[in-house]
Amino acid sequence: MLFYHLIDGFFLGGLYVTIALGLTLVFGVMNTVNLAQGEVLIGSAYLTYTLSSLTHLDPLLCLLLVAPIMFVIGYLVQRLLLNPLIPRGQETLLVATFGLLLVAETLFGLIYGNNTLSLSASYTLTGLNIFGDTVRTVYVIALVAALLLVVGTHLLLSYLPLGKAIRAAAEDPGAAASIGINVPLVYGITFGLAAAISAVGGTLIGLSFGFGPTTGSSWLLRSFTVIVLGGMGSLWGTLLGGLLIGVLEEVAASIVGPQFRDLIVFAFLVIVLIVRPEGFFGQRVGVAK
Amino acid sequence: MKTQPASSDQLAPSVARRQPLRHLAPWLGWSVLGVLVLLAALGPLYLSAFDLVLAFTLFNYMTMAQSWNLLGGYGGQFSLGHSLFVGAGSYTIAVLLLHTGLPLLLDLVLSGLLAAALATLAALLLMRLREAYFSIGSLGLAMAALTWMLNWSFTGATSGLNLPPAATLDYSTLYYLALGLLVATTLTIVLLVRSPFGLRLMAIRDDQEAAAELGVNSFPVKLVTFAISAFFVGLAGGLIALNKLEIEPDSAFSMNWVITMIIITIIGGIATSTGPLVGAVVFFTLQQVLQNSQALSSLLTGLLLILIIRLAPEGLWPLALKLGRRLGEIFVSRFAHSKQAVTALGAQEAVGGRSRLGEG
Repeated sequence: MLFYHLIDGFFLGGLYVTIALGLTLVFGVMNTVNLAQGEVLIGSAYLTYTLSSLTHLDPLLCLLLVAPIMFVIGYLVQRLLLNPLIPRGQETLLVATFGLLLVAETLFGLIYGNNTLSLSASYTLTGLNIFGDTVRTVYVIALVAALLLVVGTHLLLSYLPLGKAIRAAAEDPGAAASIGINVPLVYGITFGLAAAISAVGGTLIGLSFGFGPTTGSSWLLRSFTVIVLGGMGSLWGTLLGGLLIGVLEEVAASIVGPQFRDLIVFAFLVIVLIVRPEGFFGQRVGVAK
Repeated sequence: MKTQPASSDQLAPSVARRQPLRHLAPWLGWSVLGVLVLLAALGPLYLSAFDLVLAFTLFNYMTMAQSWNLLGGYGGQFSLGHSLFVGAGSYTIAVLLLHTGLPLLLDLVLSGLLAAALATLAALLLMRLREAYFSIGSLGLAMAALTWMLNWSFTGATSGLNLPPAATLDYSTLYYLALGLLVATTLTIVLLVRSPFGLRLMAIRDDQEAAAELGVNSFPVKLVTFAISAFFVGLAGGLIALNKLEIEPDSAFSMNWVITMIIITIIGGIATSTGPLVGAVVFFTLQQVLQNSQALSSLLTGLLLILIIRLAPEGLWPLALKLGRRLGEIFVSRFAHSKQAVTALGAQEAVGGRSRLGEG
C-alpha cells in the first residue's frame, strides 16, 4: 500500500515541479518573489480553457498558443511594472505582485464567474499501470513535462547566449550591464519565460484538479514550498523539491486523511522555513550552472 | 519630521516668517483631531442605525490596518498571515460566550489576548525569517489554520458557530466598542512608535545588522510588536463576530482580511500613523460607492494599489502632505513680496501648514 502511495506521490511531484519552475526562475534571476505566481498558473488554465472550448483542440495542444501569450504578458509585466520598482527594494516588489494577484483574481471572477472549472481531455480520467499501481495519466504527462522543462531550462541557461546573459544578469546586474548586456530586456525575457513555463503547469493543474478565481494562493504556497525545500532559485533543487513534496503529501494524506492535504503542505512549508530557510539542495540559477 | 530641514534650506529668507506656521500647525492638527473625535463620539445622536453599522465597519478597517501597519510598516515585516488573528478573535469570543459565563467585555479582551498568544507562538517560529520568507511563512501559517478550522469539530468545522442570543448588542454599543478600540489602537501605536521601543523597531527594519551592532536585540522587539499588532486585530475580530453573530471558517479566516489591511495601509501611506486612517476612508468609500458591483470595486482597488506603488509608493497621505506643503510655499513666496500683509500671511500659512501635522 505504502509503495503505491510513494509512486502516486512521485508522479504528483512531477506536477509540482512544473508549477514551481517559474517561481524558481524569477527568484533565481531577479531575486523577486512573485506573489502572483498562483494567478499566472490559474490564468494560463483559464486561457487554455477558453481556447480549447473554442477550437475543441486538446488542452495540451493549446499550449502552443497559450505559452507564447503568457510569455508576452510576463514580459510586459516585468518591463512596465516590476523593472522600475527594483531599485526600491523587495518590499515594493512584494506589494506590486500582490496587486497583480488581486487584479488577476478579480478579472478571473468577472470573466469566468466564480464556478470551479476544469479542463477535459481523453486522458483526464484514465490511468496507467506502473509497477502494479494505477497512476493518473495526467500525472505521468506532468512528470515527463517536468523533466523536459528542467532539462530544457538547464540547457538554455548553460549553452545559449541568452542563457549566459540571464546568468550574468542574475549574478551581478551592474557588471552585466557594463559589458553590454541589456539587463532590463533580459529580466523581461526571464519573466516571460517563467510565465510560459507556468502555462504548462497551469494547464496541467486544470487537467488534474478544478480551478476557480481564488485557487491561486493555495498553488502559490505549494510552489513556494517546493522552491524553499529545493533551495530558492535552484533548478535541480526545484526538481528534487517537487518530487519530495509530492511523495510526502501523498504518503501523509494516506495516513491522516485526504482532507488534511493542504494542512500537511502548509505545515511542512513552515517547518522547512524554520529549520532550514536556505533549502536543502542546490544554488541559485545565477550561481549554479 | 524629515521634511523640515529641506524646506528651510529652500526658503532661507522666509524662515523667520514661517515660524508662526510651525507653532500653529500642531495646534491646528490637534484641534481638527479633537473635533473629529468629538463628532465621532456623538455619532449615535445623529446617525441612523444603518450609518452606525457602516461606521462600525469603517472603524474596524481602520483598527486592523493600523495594527497591520505597526508590524508591516514600522516593523518592516510584511505579514500575509494577519487573517489568522481576525479568525482567532472571532472564534475565541464565540467559544467563550457559548461555553463560559464570563462577562462579555472580558470575553472580548480574552479574544485579543488569545490572538496575541498565537502571535507570540507564530513569532517564535517565524521571526528569524526576513522579507519574502516571513511573508510566505505567515501566509502558510494562516492557510494551515484555516484548513485546521475547516476540520475541527469542536468549533463546528465548516458550518461554524452561532453566538448565543444573549450576545446580541444594539448598534450604538457596537459603534462605541469599535470607536473605543480604534482610539485605543491608534493611541497605543502612535505612542509606541515615538518611544525608544519604536526607534529600535524602525532601526531593525532599516538595517538589522547595524542595529545589532548598536546593541539592539531584534528578537524581543519583533516579538512584542507582533503580539501587540495581533492583540488589536484579535479584538477587532471579536467585535466582528459580535456584529455578525454567525461565524464560519471561510469568512472568519478569509485571506480578504489581510488583503484589506494591506491595501488600506499602502493606499493611505505605509509607516505613517494617519495613512491607515485615510486609506480606510478611501477604500471604504470606494467599496460603498461600488457596492452593487463587488467585482468592479475589488478590480479598482487592485489597480489603485498597483498605481500607487508604481507612482507614489509612499501613499496618498504623504502625497497630500507634500502637495499641501508645496501650496503653502507658493503662498508664502507670493506674500513675501508684500511685506505689509503679515497678518494675512499668518492665516495663509496656517492653511498651508495643516499639512505639517500629518506626521502626528
